[in-house]
Amino acid sequence: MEYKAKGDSKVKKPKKIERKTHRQEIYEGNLNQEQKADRELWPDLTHNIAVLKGRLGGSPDIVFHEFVMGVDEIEACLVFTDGLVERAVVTQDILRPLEIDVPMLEVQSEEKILVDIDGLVTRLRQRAIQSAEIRKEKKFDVLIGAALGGGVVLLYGDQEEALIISAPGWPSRGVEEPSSDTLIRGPRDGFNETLRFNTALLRRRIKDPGLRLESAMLGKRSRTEINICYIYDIVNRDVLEEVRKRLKKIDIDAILESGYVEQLIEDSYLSPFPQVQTTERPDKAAAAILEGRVVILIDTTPFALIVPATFVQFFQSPEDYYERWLIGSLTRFIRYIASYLAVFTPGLVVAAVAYHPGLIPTKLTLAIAASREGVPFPIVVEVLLMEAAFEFLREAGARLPQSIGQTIGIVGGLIIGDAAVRANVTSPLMVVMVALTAVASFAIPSYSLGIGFRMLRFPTIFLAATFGIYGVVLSFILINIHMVTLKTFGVNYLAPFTPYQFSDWKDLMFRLPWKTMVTRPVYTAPQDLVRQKVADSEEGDNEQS
Amino acid sequence: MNSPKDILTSRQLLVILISTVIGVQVFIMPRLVVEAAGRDGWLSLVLGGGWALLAATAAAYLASFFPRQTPVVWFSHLLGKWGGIALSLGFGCFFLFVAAEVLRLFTDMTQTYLLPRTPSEIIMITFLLSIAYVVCHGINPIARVTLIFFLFGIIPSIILIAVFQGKVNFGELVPVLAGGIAPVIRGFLPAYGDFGGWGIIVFLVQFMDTPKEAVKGTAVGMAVIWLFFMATFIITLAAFGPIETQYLLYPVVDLIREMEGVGGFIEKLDLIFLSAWILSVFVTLAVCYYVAVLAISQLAGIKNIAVPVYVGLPLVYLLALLPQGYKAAEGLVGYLNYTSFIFSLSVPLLVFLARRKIKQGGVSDGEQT
Repeated sequence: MEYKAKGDSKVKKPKKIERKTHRQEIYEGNLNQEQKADRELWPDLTHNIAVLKGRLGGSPDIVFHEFVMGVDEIEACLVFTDGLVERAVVTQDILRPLEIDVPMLEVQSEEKILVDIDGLVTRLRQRAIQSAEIRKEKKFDVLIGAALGGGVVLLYGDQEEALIISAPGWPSRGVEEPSSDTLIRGPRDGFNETLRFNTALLRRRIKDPGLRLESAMLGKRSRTEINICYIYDIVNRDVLEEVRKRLKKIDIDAILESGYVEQLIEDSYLSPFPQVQTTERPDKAAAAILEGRVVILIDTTPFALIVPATFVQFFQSPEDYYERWLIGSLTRFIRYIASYLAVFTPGLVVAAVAYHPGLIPTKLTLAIAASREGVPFPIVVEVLLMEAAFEFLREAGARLPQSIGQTIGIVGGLIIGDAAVRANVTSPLMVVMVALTAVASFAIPSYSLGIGFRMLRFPTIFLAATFGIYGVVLSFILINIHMVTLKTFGVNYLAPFTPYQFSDWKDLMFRLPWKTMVTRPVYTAPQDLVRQKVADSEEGDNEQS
Repeated sequence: MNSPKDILTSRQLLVILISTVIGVQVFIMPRLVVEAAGRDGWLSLVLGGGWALLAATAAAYLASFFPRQTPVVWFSHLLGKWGGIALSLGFGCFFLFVAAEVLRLFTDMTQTYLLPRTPSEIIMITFLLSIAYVVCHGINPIARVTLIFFLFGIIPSIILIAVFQGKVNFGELVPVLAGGIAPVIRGFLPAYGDFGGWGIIVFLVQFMDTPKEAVKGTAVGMAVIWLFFMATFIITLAAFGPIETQYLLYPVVDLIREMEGVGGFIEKLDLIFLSAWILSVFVTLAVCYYVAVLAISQLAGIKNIAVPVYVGLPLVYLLALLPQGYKAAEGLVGYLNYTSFIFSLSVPLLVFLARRKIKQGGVSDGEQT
């Protein structure tokens, strides 16, 4: 049996392949060939190695370590990706036992144990390899997947099965403080790019046997592992089922960031509002799991996805719950006000100045008129100009290295702002207003919702410029209609604002004391509603006595 | 006929009812009532509101006999095929006209106070398109958006009127019945007409899982509206007196104008008040238009409501443009009041018929309690 190179099948194919299916053809051509010839291992080591080499190409990072073991001098081969496995594990725990210890055992016991794969597995498990996971596998696909994903493949003798020994060890960041979602009070650890670390961070917080992780592989080429995390007896089953269903539908070549998954499973891709919450904080993810939500962890990204994510969730910060309730309530309430300011301030200013000068006190109207005296533009143009300038500054500052980013802030914010006012391009009031909107939009804990609000600002400005305050109200109406029609995994996006769910209002605009929050949120419909049992002091006494 | 997703709770019904009935007419209500009844208008309001409350509650009671059945079906059941079709069509057209009337009054008011130089057609078209956006999504989004607007627009407005601090002279209310009983009777119809929106109940109960609760919800809702209208009327009358009220185009807006801005930051409170009130008008229009479209499309057997919604828009638009000038637009209110009154008279008859049918065991699905 000769291994056929990729090119062979292509030659056979008729050349009149349409362009649109070209990619598919490569894919399927590949698969068909495997199916035809080499789906499973052959009882021929050299051939197997040839197949693997052919399929993996001559990449220098993929190591084929051929060696001989035992007194019978059985040929064997280790296949792994250099850099994705722990070198020490490979040499100390795999190669050393195989080359030295096992043969010695064999000699001592005078029995030939290296006859079949089962014997080898047993022996290795009992005596030699101290690796976390060993399993047998026949299929080339799986073997290749393992070799590329931090596993060590042991091809051995002329067996039809090979061993996969997992020894992952790749360059990884340690557990660091997350750069988004920063808190003053709260744990400092954050998710990183390694899935297993992240699940461990969750387990450290929830040591409940009910915490379940479901593994799935996404991306045909990236083969990214994802874990669906939930607590078995709390999670809303419908949501869980929906998550599974939507993840199953994903058929993409690669998942490089959680954003891919987020956008592929969200309900409406036309909406300016995020419908999946992302977080780098394990405590936030744990809190979501405890509320009956589902958390999706994705390998190679520190961002976990939380579903279902309703509008109010984006206004919550873990700190609301860690600080005392008065402080939590105040900050929460400020965020809601900030959201209104971020969306409607420019529109209201345009409406007031252009249509309803009576809306603001006379003295202020005069002051505005005086400050705008030299400005050559109508108010709408001025507002749009300043808002656009702010967006440029923000974008420039966000992409540049930190040291230069600060310079941009100073140059843009201070120098240009001041100079623009002096040059009569804009009035001081506009600078104040733009700064206010910007700060307000950053006061919302969720970056993506803040961006959504900033986007909505522009249609509002246009409506206000055309219809005055009626336009602003119209914009409010349209935004609200959009939000009430929006659903996230079967949950109303505006829940519990509407439909009214008064018991959940304890944790809405304000965050009431922990003692009053005895139930989990009703609107997520968890199976188990009881969050805490507030011990009546009398009852407690009775039980003790 | 309705997908199982279309479910209203009694609380939602209550909020929808309040938001719909307190629509746009409240602004001109004191003037209309005072024109007819003078100083004793509040007595007319007591009578009109009471009658509307009774009619609405009876209608809810009637509709609760037929859980999850469309009125189109049970009208025919009670009145025979053609009678049912006529009544359904009557309701549909009535609410189409109400929607047009609301749109017209709203546009006139917006033009007066907010956008004097914007053509009314533009205001109407933008407003109608936003209405269509929510209406074609069905009753549930309407209900949810109503709840939101109730929270942010309507409750603050009600509070604003309730805590009114201006020059009020309750002496304007006396003497009571100086002109005899006749003015009170004359004022009955305009007073009753302000509550005319109760008819939506007939078509909304079909979405409820527990229609029995609708009766209580309706009664409470109508009572709240009743009290609110009474309070508004009395405060307006006390602030302006019966003569001045007659000459104010929108007495309630002028009432708000009397209030000095809070802390001096906002000079004119009426602008804020009006913008909050746009939300209320939006709900009124959306619900009325929805009921009109629902009645007609259910009659025609159309399940997907989106097409009728967009087909009906030009109709409402044209109807709203039809009256020439304020006076003609308000003249339409009188006709609608008559129609609504006739509907309210038909309710006891229908209740009687329904009870008889149930006694005969003719209603298969009805809850016989």
